[in-house]
Amino acid sequence: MGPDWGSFLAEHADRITRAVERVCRDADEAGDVGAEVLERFRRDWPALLEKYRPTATGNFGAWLAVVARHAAVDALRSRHGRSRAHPEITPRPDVDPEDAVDPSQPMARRAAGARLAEVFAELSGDERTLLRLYFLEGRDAESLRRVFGGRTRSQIYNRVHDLTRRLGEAARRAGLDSSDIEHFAQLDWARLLRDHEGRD
Amino acid sequence: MAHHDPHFEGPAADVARALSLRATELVASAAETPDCADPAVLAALAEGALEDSERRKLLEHVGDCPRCLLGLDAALEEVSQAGGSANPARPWRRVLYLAAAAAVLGLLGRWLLPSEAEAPRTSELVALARVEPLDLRLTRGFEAEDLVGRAQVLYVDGEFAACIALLEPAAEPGPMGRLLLGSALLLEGRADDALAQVGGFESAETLEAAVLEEARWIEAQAHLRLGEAEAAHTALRALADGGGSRAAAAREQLDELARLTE
Repeated sequence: MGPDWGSFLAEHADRITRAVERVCRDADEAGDVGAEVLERFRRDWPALLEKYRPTATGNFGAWLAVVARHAAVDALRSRHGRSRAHPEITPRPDVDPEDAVDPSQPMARRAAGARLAEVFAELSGDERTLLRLYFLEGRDAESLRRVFGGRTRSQIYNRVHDLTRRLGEAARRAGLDSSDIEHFAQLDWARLLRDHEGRD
Repeated sequence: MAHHDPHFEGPAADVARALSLRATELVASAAETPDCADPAVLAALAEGALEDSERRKLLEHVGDCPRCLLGLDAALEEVSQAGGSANPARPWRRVLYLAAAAAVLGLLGRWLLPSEAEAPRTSELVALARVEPLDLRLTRGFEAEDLVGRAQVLYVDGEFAACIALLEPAAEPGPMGRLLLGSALLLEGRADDALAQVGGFESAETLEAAVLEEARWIEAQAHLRLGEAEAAHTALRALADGGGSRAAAAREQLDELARLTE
């Protein structure tokens, strides 16, 4: 017989909400999706717990965080449907669209974007994962050392250094200049990954 | 939130950022596929508990699977929290707890809400550490054009991050480079990386005693920073017994250590 729902919630609500908020765009969305995920857990939690198979390290919390993140992703995909599945490219809030888009060079930008996506595709899957986790999710070097192996955090820093250098060289070889790179760094996040992964 | 690290700025880092996606943007393509990893396996990856071959295979998959990337990120967050790193309080959470309480339990007493108090991570040991710049007379004799010379100029200017960025990628910066790098890493709060640089100096036969002593001093302070009393004690004992310029300070720290463990 496992713990009752109240005890489960008291112990794990914090990690569930942490897992939810990361994939939400703002606090309102996080609140709504978080409540949805908790309700789903309340409904299914005895069956949910039966799915847990302790690993050698036996970290239940990390397992639950993954399950909660996936539940949040499914809830978001369900809520937003196709509008979320095919997001329009939107500038970051700190970028004035008038400044960021150069209407006189749309084709050139698109071609540069395609070349930039090819540059990214030259990396292996684990290298792309390292860059995403480091730059976008802000994961610290100690966490990444555990995931990618190695003895010290310096090895992770060195690897990120090496990858960014290789990317810069490949971008220059592809004929991209710093304004192209800056443009995509500000604007074209969604399109570039869709191009790369062929999900259009 | 995008991570802006001063070590990685400029066009190359912009490419990396441009070609990655935020978690919120990955959701769109994060449908479950038959190849997706079990949550327990992603959790084990985050904990560093997978065998090399399994880890490599899974990381290749994660590179092309937004769902597994998001799952791995959640596990990393959790493992990192379990390690004690603080997470800033978010106001919506309390609202969420209360909403969940109302919807799910009807009444959820305040006693059920998780405490926001974090166990103090910095111990008295950490406070003991003396993190201060090197005596740069040790690094004399290097030309400004040398790698170590250029790093020394940055170090003297207090540009420790830039000093690290210069020395860290070097395959073999040499003992003096490692000493500078170790010190800069410690000053930048990267105690375990500092240890990796200054460890093993004993095997370098041609080093001056003062250089060895400084390396051991950095080692002792890094262990203190990491809360590792026993290792710090060993390094401090060697310094105190060595009778060099750091001996007196090492004895003081040994006394303070002894008081803490009484």
